[in-house]
Amino acid sequence: MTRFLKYVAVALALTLPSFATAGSQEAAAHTLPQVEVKTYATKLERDLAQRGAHVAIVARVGRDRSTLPAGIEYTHVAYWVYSQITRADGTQHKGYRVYNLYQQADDGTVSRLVQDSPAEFFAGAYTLDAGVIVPDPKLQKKLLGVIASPTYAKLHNAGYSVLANPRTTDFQNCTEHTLDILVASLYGTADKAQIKANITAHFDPQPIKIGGFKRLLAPAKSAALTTSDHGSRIETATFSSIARFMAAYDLSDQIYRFTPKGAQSF
Amino acid sequence: MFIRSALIGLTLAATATAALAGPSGQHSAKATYHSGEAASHAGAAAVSGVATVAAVPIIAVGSAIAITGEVLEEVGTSTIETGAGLSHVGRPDQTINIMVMPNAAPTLD
Repeated sequence: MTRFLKYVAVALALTLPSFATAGSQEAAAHTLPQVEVKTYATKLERDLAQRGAHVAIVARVGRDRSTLPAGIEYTHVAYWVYSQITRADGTQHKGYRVYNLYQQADDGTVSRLVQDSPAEFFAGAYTLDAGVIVPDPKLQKKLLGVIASPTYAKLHNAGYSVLANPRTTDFQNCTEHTLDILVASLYGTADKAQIKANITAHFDPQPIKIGGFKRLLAPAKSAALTTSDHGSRIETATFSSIARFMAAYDLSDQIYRFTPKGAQSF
Repeated sequence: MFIRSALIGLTLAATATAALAGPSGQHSAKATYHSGEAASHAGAAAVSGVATVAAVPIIAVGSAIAITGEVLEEVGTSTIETGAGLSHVGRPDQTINIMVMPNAAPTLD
């Protein structure tokens, strides 16, 4: 009996990490050849440029998908913005910059806003398979107005949770910040209470199934795994739930997957 | 005996390897680039370093788009902190409990 209970305890401990979604880490250990990553990132840049996208929502996979909870396909989401880029030597070029909310490496409960390049965005990817949403051009214009304003940072909550509840302001992760910026753009507001009210009314987050025991023990493993901002159901913003929201309200121009082979439909 | 087994389980649960990726060498490498800030009109900030960049969104939606010049960046050489002065690092937002009525469903028309 004792041995059985020990096996159960070990099994429970081993299953705990499975709902951690690798969050939005800046660049986890590189599992892919970086030359391959750069080539792929440039290919996606050119694809977006050909589509005339001034801003796009792009998602990457940071972990083996088989370890992700059901309903979660991607682990990090950010805005890609077509920009005028200036280097230290004064040279300029045009390309995409990525507007990220990254989980801090030294404290997983804290995030920061970071801009990096497409290649850096994919540097820690587990596999080169991106989710892409090109918003309607009218919405792109609204998004750019917000991204290029103090509202972008104002809507950042540095309190990080992997499974943040998008209906509340307690915690935030990369996907929720992306959603908050999207809703701020749609309604022309920077008011967090209004944004959350609109998300609650019109956005359907992704339900995450987690057993009670796992949920109870998760914060002991990492405070970033807290679910204290949820009720009995755990629901969080994901790339797919944002894609569904944008498709439902006719806010997107194109939604597709992008792999080294090129664009594919979902 | 049950208590001992339960304690073993809890200990393992608390010490098992976190699935959240741990700090990467990339971070420490990147930290060296964060030596300064320069606000743009967007409230974004730039940092100095080996390959410092400043980036400004091109807002003319509908205009032709082309990727120009060498766009590939070495990992860790083009990071820019954005809005660091405006976000509340290390201090989670206070929960907003004000009841606000939602607007109508979103539309672009």
